[in-house]
Amino acid sequence: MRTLLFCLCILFSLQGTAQDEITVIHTTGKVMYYAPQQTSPTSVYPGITLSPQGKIKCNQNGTVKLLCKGKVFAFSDTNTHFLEEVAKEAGNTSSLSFINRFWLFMTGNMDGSTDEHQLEKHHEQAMENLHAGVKGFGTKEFAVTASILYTGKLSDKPVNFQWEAPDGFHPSFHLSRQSDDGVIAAISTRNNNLLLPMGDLALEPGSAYEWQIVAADASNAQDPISSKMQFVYQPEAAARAIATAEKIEAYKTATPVEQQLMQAFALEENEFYYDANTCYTAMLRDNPNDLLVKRSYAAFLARVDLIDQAKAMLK
Amino acid sequence: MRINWRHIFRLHNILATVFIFLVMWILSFVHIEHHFLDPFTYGIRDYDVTDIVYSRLRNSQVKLDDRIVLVNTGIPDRKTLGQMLERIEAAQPRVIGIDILLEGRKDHEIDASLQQIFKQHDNIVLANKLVNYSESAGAFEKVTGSDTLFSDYTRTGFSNFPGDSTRAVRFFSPMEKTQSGASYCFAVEVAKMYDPASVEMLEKRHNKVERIHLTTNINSYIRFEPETILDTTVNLSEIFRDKIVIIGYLSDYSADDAILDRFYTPLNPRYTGRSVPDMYGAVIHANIVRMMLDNDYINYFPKWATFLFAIVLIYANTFFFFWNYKYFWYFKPFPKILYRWAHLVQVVEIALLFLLTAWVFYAFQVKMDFTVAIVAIILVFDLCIIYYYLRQNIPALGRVPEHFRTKHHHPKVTNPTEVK
Repeated sequence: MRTLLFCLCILFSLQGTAQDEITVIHTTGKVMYYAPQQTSPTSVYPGITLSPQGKIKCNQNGTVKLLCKGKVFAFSDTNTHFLEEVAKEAGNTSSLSFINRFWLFMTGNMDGSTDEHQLEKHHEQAMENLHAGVKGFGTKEFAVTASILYTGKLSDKPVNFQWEAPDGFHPSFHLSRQSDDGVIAAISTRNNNLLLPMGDLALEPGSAYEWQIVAADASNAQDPISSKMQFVYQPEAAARAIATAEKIEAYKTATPVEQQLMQAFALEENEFYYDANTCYTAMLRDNPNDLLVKRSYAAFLARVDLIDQAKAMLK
Repeated sequence: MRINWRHIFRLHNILATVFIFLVMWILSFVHIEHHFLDPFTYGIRDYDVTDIVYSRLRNSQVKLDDRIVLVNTGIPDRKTLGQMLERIEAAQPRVIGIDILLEGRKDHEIDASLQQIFKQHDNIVLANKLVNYSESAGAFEKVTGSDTLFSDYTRTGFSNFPGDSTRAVRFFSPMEKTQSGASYCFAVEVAKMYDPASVEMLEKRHNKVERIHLTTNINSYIRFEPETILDTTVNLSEIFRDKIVIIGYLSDYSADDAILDRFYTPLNPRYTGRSVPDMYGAVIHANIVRMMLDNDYINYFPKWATFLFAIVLIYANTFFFFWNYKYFWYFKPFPKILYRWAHLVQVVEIALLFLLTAWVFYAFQVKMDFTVAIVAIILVFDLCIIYYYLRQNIPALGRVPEHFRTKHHHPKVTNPTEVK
């Protein structure tokens, strides 16, 4: 019986190994393979089997088609592709993996931040996506405006709400529950910002809230107000998104800057725009001359409708 | 439960069924000029119910066939081809199939060196084509395509598919008669060299043409480009040893590529009104070889069985018609109701037949041909009305009883005087 069980275990383990094999079915040009624990690459050609722990990279004009678990993956760009991600994607029917999404995101960042013109296009595209293609009809103009940084999801970290208001205006910050309009906070301030310790506000996790700037003297209907900005309070989800990214093999082998970029991407992908902004700010503080960081941050600012700050970042 | 056969086998239903098949048989001799329908008929003519199975229902998982390796030649250049052949032969494959027509003679030196390769190796199959079919002789007049400078020193196989290049490739002919003798298909010659038993199995089926069971596409095979073959740092023998190598034009389906040696197949995602050919000839040959090696043929539902099925189906339909007529004729709007019913039943039955054909093909690789049944369903209700009219107006038909007569066993009357 024991022998039988031992044989079965071996059989299953062998089957598991075989399933993860990645076979090269076609190549054109030069394609390099970085085997695990090896720094020097080897050439890839059809018929060879690659380890899922390795990486591949196509040279200029190089293309490669890989077969893993019955699915075909084709690469023709010059990015490095982690085969572990290929194996994972082959195993699950969902959309692109984190690393592939991250590479697409970084490519989009770089394309969208080459110059001011590209940045404006990137901003326009992001706004179009945000407003579902409706231009000029969907939103009412308000004198007080705020970035979409404070929408999406907010964690339990302190949030410095900022807005732009005309001179001589005395704003009042109103925070209410979306479900019943129950007022959570109504704070008057002389500045165009307000720091709120979100963890201390007794907000309910997973619930939606709205914040709005109204004139301190609300009896005058002519006083400018802002639009209602919605957010969902998720005290722990931001940390979870980062923890998920940290578990990925490619994250562990990435440089500190790449790791921070992955964190920022994970936060933005999960709609934690404010936390992503904090992440970028910290990144820029630590690497003030890193072009990759500056351009990524500029692209991010363009996406959250802070186009002037984004342009300033490129200068 | 006891079945009352008298209620099932009714004379008028049987006569109506016979009448329907008789009319269909007569109609089969009538050829209608239908040029005005041509744009439509051309669109759907090249369509088979089973196409939807290949196009949409087949397993999308790609299974690698490690017995066959494909090699792209690009636009064929004899010098490069010669160099590639030398490299491939050095890797010791079991068979090399060259799906290229080496027409005419070009550079003497290059042609001579290519000929030398053919002479030196007996594992090469070269493609040629059959032309000019002679109806009277029942054979092709010429075997052409590749020059005798090469074809005389190697095995050859014809690479034509039945039909023309504008239609989907569904069949292959294993063997054709030529005026110089029998000629075998390219894929059959390749399979014969790799596994002769597989060809014996094919011959035992005695089919003039075989339906190709297309289960693989270009991604199911290891595929080499010329530069990789000629790259001496690549160890080809670990991939090519004891394999079947099919050499042909196999570009990457990009929009800029010339559509050379590419055919429409049932795997085309657009199963009607196909616009771009979807499979290279070399991949179709690979599919045929795979099918033969795996003895994975498509079988047909026997014709007598499909005909019997059509008879049973039409007999059941006549029941439906006469039942309706018997119970509802006295309603004023009866004809309208009957026609609505009839059309609904026709649509449902035809849809079910299509589904049944697709399912049986998908599940059992058996092709059912329900053409007779479908045509009969289309005609059944109108012909039943005609039959009913005939029954009322032809006295002889009117005298036919509803049921078969049964023998009545009268009890023997015994003479009471005999009883004592």
